[in-house]
Amino acid sequence: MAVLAQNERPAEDGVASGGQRGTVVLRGVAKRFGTTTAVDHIDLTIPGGSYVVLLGPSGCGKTTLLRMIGGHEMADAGDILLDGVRLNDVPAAQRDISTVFQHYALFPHKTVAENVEFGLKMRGLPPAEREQRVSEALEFMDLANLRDRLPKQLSGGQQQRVALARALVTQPTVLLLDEPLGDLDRLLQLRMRVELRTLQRRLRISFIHVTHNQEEALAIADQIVVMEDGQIKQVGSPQEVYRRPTNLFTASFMGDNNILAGRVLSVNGDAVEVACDGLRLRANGVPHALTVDQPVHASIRAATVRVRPEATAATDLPPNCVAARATFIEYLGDIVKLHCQTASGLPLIAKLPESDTSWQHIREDETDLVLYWDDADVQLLTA
Amino acid sequence: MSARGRWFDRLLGLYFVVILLFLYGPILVMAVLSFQGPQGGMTFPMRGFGFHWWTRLFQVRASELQEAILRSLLVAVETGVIAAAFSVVIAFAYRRRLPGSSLLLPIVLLALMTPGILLGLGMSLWWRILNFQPGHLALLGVHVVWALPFAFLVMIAVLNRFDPRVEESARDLGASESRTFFEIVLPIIWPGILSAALFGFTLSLNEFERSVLVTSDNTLPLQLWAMLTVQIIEPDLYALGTLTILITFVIVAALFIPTVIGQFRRLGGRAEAGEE
Repeated sequence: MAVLAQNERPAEDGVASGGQRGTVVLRGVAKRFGTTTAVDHIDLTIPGGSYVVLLGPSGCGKTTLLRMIGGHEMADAGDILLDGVRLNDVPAAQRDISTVFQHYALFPHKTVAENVEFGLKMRGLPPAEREQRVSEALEFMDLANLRDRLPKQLSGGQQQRVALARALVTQPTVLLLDEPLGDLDRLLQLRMRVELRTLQRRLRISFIHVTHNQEEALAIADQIVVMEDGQIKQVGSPQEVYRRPTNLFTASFMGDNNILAGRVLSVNGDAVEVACDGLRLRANGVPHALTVDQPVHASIRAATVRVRPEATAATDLPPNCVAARATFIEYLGDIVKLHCQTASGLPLIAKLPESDTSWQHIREDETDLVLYWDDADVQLLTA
Repeated sequence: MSARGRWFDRLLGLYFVVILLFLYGPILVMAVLSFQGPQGGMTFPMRGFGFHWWTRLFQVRASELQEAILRSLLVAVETGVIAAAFSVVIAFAYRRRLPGSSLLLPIVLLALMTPGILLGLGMSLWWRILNFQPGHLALLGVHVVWALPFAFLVMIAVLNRFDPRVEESARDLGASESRTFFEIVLPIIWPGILSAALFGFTLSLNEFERSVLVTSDNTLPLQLWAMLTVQIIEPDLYALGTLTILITFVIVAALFIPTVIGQFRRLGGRAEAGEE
């Protein structure tokens, strides 16, 4: 990628005013469509210059939230602020925010250069300056040789770069991206998500990115906002959300988690023991107060579950150990997924690195195994 | 495919050909008979073959018909333009779900269901109640009412294929409502608007039953009807009928060719697209 000087903001720019520009604050923002609540009184702060991903299943309100920030949907209640200025009544055309729409929404009758030029033309910039900035933006997005093509003559990845160039050429402080990688094939998705992240770091503006793909969110985000039914379930860095889900929805939506329902057996400081269907779990570092006999869910990441071949009576085992057999061995290339069943019939999944060759000696429904994990890898969820 | 299935397909094909002959046979007969020799009559057998009646059409009939043709063309052009303009506005109101827009579709389509002769009678009465002599404007009125549902349906189809996000992205980039419409929406949907206008033009050009009670100044179909009922008819009318149908065909082709070319380009464009 070439360098587009105007678009690269020096770090001092925002620091002088006490922070990066492009800080979006949502206070009690709500939106209803008829009788359904799309967004239910959301409070959220998106720090300037950060990459935030709104993650959730379809219909969770993430796109509606994005559209309200962009001005394409009016909030029924609450305030939307950009760098301290209330945006609710500012039309989309006058917000310092650009959007990369789902399926890109390029102007089909305009060439690549004309698409990119459009925002500058609407702002009334003189033709000479427009031409210069368009050329730089095209150069920056590696599109210079495609400038006279029509959108339909471009591949999906090229169309996406045009959409990015078109949105960025007006130098917004916030860029909104609605499922930007959804139209690309998998290999291109993997490449473009790295490029998006790199682009955001260079431009030092806020990117707010909507996706339903948890792996994409983990790979790109500074902050992940997990949403369900119009509400925010958890906000945190990828590591926090992945390793320490605070609620059942996040734990199940992030995938790869074994989720067991049980009751608290004993509480000893921050070490808690839980019984789940004949399986004893022990967790430490439990952040919230629990009482004996309280119903909880336990979440154990599949990648933290370890396996050793060993025949044992189920009763002899300490907490966080269980006798099981593999019912299905799923080979996935870099990892191998063991679908197991405990003696009491609970399904558990263990993920082993492919290089850990021990899985090769395990036979489905035959080899007696012990599954075990650390106390620190058990998350107890009350919500 | 089984042998039985193949036979069934052939049977269906034959059925289709028979239906086509039934529908278009009379037109073909008319076209053939228009090349009747000078001594030939309105039916078979052909007595000679030539352009006698076509020549007569242009040399003798043309002056008789000139006024009606010009009147028909004028009202057809006006109908096309007005129906297209109305249908764009109505279709946008319908798509944006403006208050009352749920009534638009039934109201517009009502004109399609109403018997044409009643519409003409009503318009004519209305005009007289208002103490005007029904004339060109009344004629234009019934033609627009007749063409509007078709133009509206064309525009609904056009707007259904139009991605609203394209409009949103124009606004996102700072365009006002009017610039969004004129710089983005209009250039994308103009082929559809042209189709709606051509639709209205063709419908108006061939319109008979709605017009007959409304105007005393004959349009082409009315003039032909008058000639058929009053004069001794000769094969030059076949030539005129054939010509009218040819013109209609050309217009219909013009309606569909842009779509076909569009499809072709889309396919071609995809194949051309550079690989990543």
